[in-house]
Amino acid sequence: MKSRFLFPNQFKLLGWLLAIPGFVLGYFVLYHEYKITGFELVIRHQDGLFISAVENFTNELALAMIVLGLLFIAFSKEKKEDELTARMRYNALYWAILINYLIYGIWLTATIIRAVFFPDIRVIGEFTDVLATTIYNLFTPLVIFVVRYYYLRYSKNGEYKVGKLFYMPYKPYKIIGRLVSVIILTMLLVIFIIKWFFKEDIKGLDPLFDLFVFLPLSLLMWAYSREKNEDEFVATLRLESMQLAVYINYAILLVANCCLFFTGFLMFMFINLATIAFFFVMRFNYILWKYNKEAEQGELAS
Amino acid sequence: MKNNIRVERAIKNITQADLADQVGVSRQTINTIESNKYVPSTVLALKIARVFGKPVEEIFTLEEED
Repeated sequence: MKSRFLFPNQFKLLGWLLAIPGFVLGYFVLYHEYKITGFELVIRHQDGLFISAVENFTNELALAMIVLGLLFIAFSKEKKEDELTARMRYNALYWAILINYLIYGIWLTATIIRAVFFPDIRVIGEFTDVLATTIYNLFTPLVIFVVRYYYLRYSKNGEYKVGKLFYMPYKPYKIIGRLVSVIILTMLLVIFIIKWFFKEDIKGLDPLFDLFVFLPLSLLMWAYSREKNEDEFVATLRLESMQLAVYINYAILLVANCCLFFTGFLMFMFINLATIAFFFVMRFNYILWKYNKEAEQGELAS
Repeated sequence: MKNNIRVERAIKNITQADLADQVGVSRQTINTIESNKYVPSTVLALKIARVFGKPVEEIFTLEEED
């Protein structure tokens, strides 16, 4: 297994130099409403109802530093990069995304329990804060990955830990995961089309948008269950697809960070809860389909 | 899959670092393969066998559960 699409080794240091100040800045922005004075632009002609004409870019700067820094730390080559370090990186990434979604699952369960049984008391407090969760989710996949990778990489005895891949069985998880994901995605698409193209405001449809909160979990089930013919090659495609999914996710995030503000970015953060798993499922199934087609043609040709 | 790289190294009197250099991987990778915790790719297995001047089956052997 070769390492693909990695930054040079020197970017690791650059990553730490970006991420650590980024986290410090982010902490002050989020919990002390700190803004760098003068670091702002007039981006609108006049103040809106909820948005002011002047946009301060301190929070965007903090997020960009954190995400870029973590990407550099996570995806820089080792001094001696070889097939085993590539393998560990892939395995750690696959594991980290799983853990990130499981934490989301626990959070969602806690939130639902609180909303149903304890509507008045804030028993779990900040933990069930949707906004905080979506903000943290922008970078937790990378943080979990870096911790896991360094744990595998720098374990004792001068020996690497390889780590194993986790799978759920094909039946029933893949079938349920796929079915539920497709149903939710189709419903969201239909509602979106009705709202966007026909400008219809049907009040009854809005609660259906809430179904989105379950999408990350159904996609997780789809992504982490075994293929019918899972073997070494399929596992390799799986790991590569995860790396690509994470790259695409963060490329879009960095672009969105520059050009979406307020409600636009809030919406983006919410959708971002499901995107890594979504891109993974798309890429993995596409590449499986492509190889299956080639294999069929190859058999016919011979 | 198990291997006798450690024995072959002793015969040839080279260190893990020497072998790692010759096949272009890190010393830790050789160490992890020697302790049977990582199955190398075919390319790497062939490179290791070439260093010892033996066919790959003499260095790496399948186990019952493989």
